[in-house]
Amino acid sequence: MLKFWRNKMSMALLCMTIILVLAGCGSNGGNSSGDNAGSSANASASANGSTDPESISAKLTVWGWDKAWFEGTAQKFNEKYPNIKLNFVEVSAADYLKKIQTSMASGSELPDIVWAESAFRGALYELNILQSLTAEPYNFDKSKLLDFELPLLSDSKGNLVGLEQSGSPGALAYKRDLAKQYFGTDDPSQLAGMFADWDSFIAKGKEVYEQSGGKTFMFGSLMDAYTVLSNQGTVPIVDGTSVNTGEMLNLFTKLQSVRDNQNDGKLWMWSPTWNSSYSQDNVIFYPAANWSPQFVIKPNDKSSDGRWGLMVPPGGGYPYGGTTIGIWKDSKNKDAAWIYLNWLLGSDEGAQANFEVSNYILPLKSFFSDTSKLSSGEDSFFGGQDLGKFWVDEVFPSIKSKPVTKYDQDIYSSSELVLQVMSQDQSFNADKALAKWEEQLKKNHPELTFD
Amino acid sequence: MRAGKWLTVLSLSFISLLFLFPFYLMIVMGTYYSEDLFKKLPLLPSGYFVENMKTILSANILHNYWNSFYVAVLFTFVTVGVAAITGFAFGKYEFAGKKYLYGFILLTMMIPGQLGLIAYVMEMKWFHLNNTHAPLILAGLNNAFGVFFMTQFARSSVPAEVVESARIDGCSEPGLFVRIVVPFLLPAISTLGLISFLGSWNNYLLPLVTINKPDLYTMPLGIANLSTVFRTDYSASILGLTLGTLPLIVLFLFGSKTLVQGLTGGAVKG
Amino acid sequence: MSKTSALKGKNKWPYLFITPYFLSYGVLSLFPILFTLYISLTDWDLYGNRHFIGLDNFKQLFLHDSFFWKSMLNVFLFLAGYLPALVLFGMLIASLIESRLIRRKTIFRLSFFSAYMTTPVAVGIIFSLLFDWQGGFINNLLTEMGWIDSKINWLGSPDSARWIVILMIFWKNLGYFVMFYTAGMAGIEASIYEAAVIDGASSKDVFFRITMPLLKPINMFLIITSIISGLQLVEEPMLLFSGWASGSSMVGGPEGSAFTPIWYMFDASFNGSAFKYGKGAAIAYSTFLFIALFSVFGMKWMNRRGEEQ
Repeated sequence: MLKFWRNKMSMALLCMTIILVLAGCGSNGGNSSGDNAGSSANASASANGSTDPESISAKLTVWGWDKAWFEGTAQKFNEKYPNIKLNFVEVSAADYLKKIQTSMASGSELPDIVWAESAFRGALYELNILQSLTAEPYNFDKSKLLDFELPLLSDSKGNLVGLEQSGSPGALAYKRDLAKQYFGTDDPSQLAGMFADWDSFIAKGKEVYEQSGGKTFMFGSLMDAYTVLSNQGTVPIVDGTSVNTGEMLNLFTKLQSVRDNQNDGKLWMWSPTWNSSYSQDNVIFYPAANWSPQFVIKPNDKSSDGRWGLMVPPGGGYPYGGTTIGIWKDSKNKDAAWIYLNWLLGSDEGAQANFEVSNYILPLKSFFSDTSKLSSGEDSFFGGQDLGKFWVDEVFPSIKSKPVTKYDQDIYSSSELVLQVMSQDQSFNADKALAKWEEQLKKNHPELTFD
Repeated sequence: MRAGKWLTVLSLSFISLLFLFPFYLMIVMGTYYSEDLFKKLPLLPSGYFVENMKTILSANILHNYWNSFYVAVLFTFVTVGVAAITGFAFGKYEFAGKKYLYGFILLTMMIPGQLGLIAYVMEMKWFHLNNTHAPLILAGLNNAFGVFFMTQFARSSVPAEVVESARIDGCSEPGLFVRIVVPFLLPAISTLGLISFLGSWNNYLLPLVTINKPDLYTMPLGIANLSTVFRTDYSASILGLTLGTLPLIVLFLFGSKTLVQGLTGGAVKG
Repeated sequence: MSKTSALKGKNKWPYLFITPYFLSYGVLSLFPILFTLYISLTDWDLYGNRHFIGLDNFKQLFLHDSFFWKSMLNVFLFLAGYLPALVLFGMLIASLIESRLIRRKTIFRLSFFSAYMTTPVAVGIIFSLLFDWQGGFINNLLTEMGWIDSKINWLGSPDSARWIVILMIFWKNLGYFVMFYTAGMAGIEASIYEAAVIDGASSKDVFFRITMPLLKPINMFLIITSIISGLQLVEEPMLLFSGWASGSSMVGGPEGSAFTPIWYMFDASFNGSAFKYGKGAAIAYSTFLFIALFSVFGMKWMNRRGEEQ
């Protein structure tokens, strides 16, 4: 055993040495060019293709979770840049921030390429580990991105710190048979016309509840409604350290009306019963993004065909999900990292590769100039709707967004706690909800002020 | 008397079934399509076992499995070895400062284990041991729980006369420990071994923060990566974790045997 | 080492035997503990703060933080709920399994211990399927039986949420207790039992007069370590309210009824977006104070009781 252990240790030391040597090789190229105008010009020139892409060599470490997408796009990237090697370390999204922060806190290396999922990207931006992409020498032109993306990709100082892995437009999914039964039509545009605003949506929900004898609801849970309503907001909930309580109260008032009018099926979002409601008749609408059909709706209702539809919700599309990919600001391979990132998420070539590999739609204006190529054909599961066209033509143009903040994750979990109470306690109104929500949020953020 | 006996056996069987039930459900859950788990309690096996198995195998889980296994074996050896000899010293010797040293161990046992996580990672960085399995194994070196248990056990179950007579026979102290004491400690060793193995096997946080190389990932990390950000594949995860309990069951059966040996061993010597 | 070599004869051996533990402790564990102690006196977060602030974190926790006190109260309530039951049933079941009544002891030991080996993911789903508000198995059963009119939100109300946590811990740990008792009983010499049986003792007498007193060291171990791990509880409540079971991220459960100090520590430093390492370290050290207080109290009490007997 001792011998084995000694072997292990010497292996470890050997590995360390090799890594150090390798890192040394990488850093020679990267480090010297970090503050050096000459070689960075060289790098950006190479991004434009005037330098031979094959002459650039580096090894980049990427921490991420979407392995199939990564490998597919990496293969295409390496066709052009064969000597930029990509080393992918799979880290699940749920653990990602934990790993980043312990590495930071212990002074360990971070990966050259950092991912940030929508749930925690606001917090990650404020850790001040990402390179601003509009700064020298990268000079990324913000106007290349669809407008709603900018608040999602910028930190509190206004720096663009990453690019979007895939635009994630949010809408409403609904069950066509129930729509026909209660609203007389299952046509997405007629339904969108019928529900021009939330008040008429909620009023209709009360009728549904009464007609069904209390068995059918518009939403599975208050959290479903919250998901749509909060993401549709354009005013930041927290600005600096001051909390916009008026905005939050509006939100809770609307949610109280959702509950008071029996629009809420009292399931817990993402719970087993909520998932199984997809194949039952108790809930009509669900928030849905472009990833939902494949990962949520079809798996939960796999035996149906033509039962589902997608429509633009009252108040328009909203950002639902998404992942920022950025560059570690102390990376020794920043130039190569930028070449990779810019090719992958900032260029038409990359946009094409993304669409081919995973049907991801990059929110680049140039990519939207001709949307005909984004059609995905008729989908019989969705009653013949062309989902690609739906997202691109109907949802993307209506999306508005608000700045992400480092508090987003805690705002979400505080809301969830509060809405759980609201859905079971009829006397728990919007004011009480706000008070409780404030208390929760203040727990770990005493610096916040509530006006 | 006879009826009473049967009643006892029957009720014990019934209670043990209640406790076995979730374990059974876990095994069954590995045969389902993930979303079907949500529909109702999965009492009977479904037909998705092969698919789940494919998911697991395609993710290189076998390699993670091996990593976890050898880490757990070494961790268990280290934990049990150190705990047994330390526990023996505290349980069967009188020496100056014993009270304070033992008190110190008990005190360290009360410090929440998660407390020093960041500092431990820092320390491992200084030793250049991050990105190896060493941090996971070394953590077993000072397991205060283990020492406490071994001390308590040695105190009550290693007869002083036996130790004394071995000494008179000319046994050296280390020889005494290995030949005379360890057999008496076997029940405790197998119990602590099983708990340590299980602890290492399920350890999640430490490998998560110390290992950045997929090649070195342990089982729980591999399982976590079966799920995507959009969809958690509960069935495949559960199947993977269920397979992970197989060595535990083997270990348990093995440990159970040493319990019986301990029983008879005690009887012979008594 | 120089100190031990000065000792003569067999007296050096106990010191040598404990050297690996203390040496590795000094090398590996001392620094994290001292460093974290220092951290608890700072306002370190990952947003750039790292100032020495003395006892401010502790003052804040003890004097102004109702979440902290609630989480402390919770773990004591839980402990009071499951520990006596675990000790009593653990001993009873272990002695039944080890008695002459049972032939296939291993199977019984394994069934009880299986709960301890069931993976948290599966446990989470099972508990959620059982206790869900609208579609859970228990509520469906109760309504079909006509025992309740409106469905009970088991995981949504503080009292029932606490009971479910207690149930979960009891169910998971009984096999663990049984195993330690079994090991303890295996350490008791069979001749003692035989002598008692020859003297005509009933099985009840044997249990209360022989088994229980002889299991005292094991009991001491189990009770003290249960107090320690009980105050450090985090996994079960998190499983129910933060992810696996419910799909939600309800930190602390309804009304904070399932919040625990260590959960609070994670919440303050790792899980949320506060990254308050100073506060997290202070919570962990405060928890340690409570643990030390109650473990020492527990040990004293058990030792005294032992002497009275």
